[in-house]
Amino acid sequence: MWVASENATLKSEPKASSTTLSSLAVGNKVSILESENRWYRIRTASGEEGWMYRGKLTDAPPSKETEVSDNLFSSMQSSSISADEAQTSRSIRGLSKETEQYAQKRGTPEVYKKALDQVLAIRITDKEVAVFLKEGKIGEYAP
Amino acid sequence: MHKKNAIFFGLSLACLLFVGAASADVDRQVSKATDTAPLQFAGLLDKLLDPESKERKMLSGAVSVLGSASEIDYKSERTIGESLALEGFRRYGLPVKDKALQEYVNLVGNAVAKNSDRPNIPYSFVVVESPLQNAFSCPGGIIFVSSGLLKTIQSEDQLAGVLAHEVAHVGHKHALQSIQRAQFFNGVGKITAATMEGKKGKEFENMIGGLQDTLFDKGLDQNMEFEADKTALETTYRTGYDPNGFVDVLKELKRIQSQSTQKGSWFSTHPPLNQRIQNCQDQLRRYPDAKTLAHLPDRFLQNQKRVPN
Repeated sequence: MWVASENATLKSEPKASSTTLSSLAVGNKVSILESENRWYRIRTASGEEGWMYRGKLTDAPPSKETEVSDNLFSSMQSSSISADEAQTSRSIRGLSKETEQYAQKRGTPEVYKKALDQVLAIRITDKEVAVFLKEGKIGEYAP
Repeated sequence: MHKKNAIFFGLSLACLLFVGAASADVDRQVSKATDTAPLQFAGLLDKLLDPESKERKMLSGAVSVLGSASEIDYKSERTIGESLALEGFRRYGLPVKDKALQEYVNLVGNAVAKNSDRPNIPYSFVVVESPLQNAFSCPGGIIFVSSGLLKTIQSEDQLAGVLAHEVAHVGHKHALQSIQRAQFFNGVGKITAATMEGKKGKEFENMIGGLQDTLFDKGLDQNMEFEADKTALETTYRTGYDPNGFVDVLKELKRIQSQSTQKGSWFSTHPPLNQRIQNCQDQLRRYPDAKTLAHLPDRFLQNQKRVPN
């Protein structure tokens, strides 16, 4: 199995409230040792063991980038592509310069540009998502 | 009186054909090798796996030309998406002015996006004021959902399914595939300030026009819809929502559709809901405990009250 979700944490016990041992990045290959309810006890490539919620894992290498891509060999490059992509996306804030150029040429009314700026300004943190899931008793927070 | 129903959930086939052509080429090379001698077949594979080999360079070179548009960098993809989003407001309406509602939809959307096929880019979700039953996604991760569709949805697992479907289109780069052959990409692999000027700038505008035509009017290739449906079920299930919620939305849209008096282009250009529902139901067999997962109608309905009439 492979880690396929962001915020995939390795836990000491098969419940969300147990101690977090570490965080695993998307693409890490793990072996399944046992399962309990919706949790798997796993071992990482470096030998670390712990519990992970099943939804964070998939049985296929999690690289849709490569599946969609036409490049036969892109699986070999997938990790570097993802890293670049993640780095670029973190640095993006508001409308790009090129979008501004497009808007200017199209004579896009200010109100639409402002609307898009406001949409892009809403940033949801990992912690906010975790609290939201916990309040809803969703996924790893289900009883 | 019935409102015109419009749901836009995806895009075209251009790149799938490209992919097919590229792999057929490889198949031909491989089968030629196997015809002559098994040892040569093994030899070809070895060469193909060696990044320095002539065969590998030849093959990956040919393939990367075919795949240029779908492999554009994230920043360029984002510019296409932002430009399309500006047109989305023009076409469908402005965001509903309610911060709490927008944040709620962003929380559900980001929760599913983290378990999607492409969890490592930022996603933004926006509820726009429009009576149409509509949701669509722009390349790079900006996702629209209409207030009309939010009125139809009845629980959080249903909303999660719809947003996961749109996230899946972004993950599969369906919109980008549909513009792979756009004139703009002739000789251009990356969008820069320079490519937004002059002839190329005009071609960029044409490309966004074509994308609007596909996303807002013509509708989407049905194989892409089926693919996004399948991915949406998997994503909602992995997040911990009941994936049946998504199928419930499709069923409700089918019910509304059957009452609609405006059986115009929508019906001829979109995949039949019956087929989508059937495909989803086949896929749901993979999730025997699905119904025990989260539904959260109350939390959803609390937020739905904020949607203007």
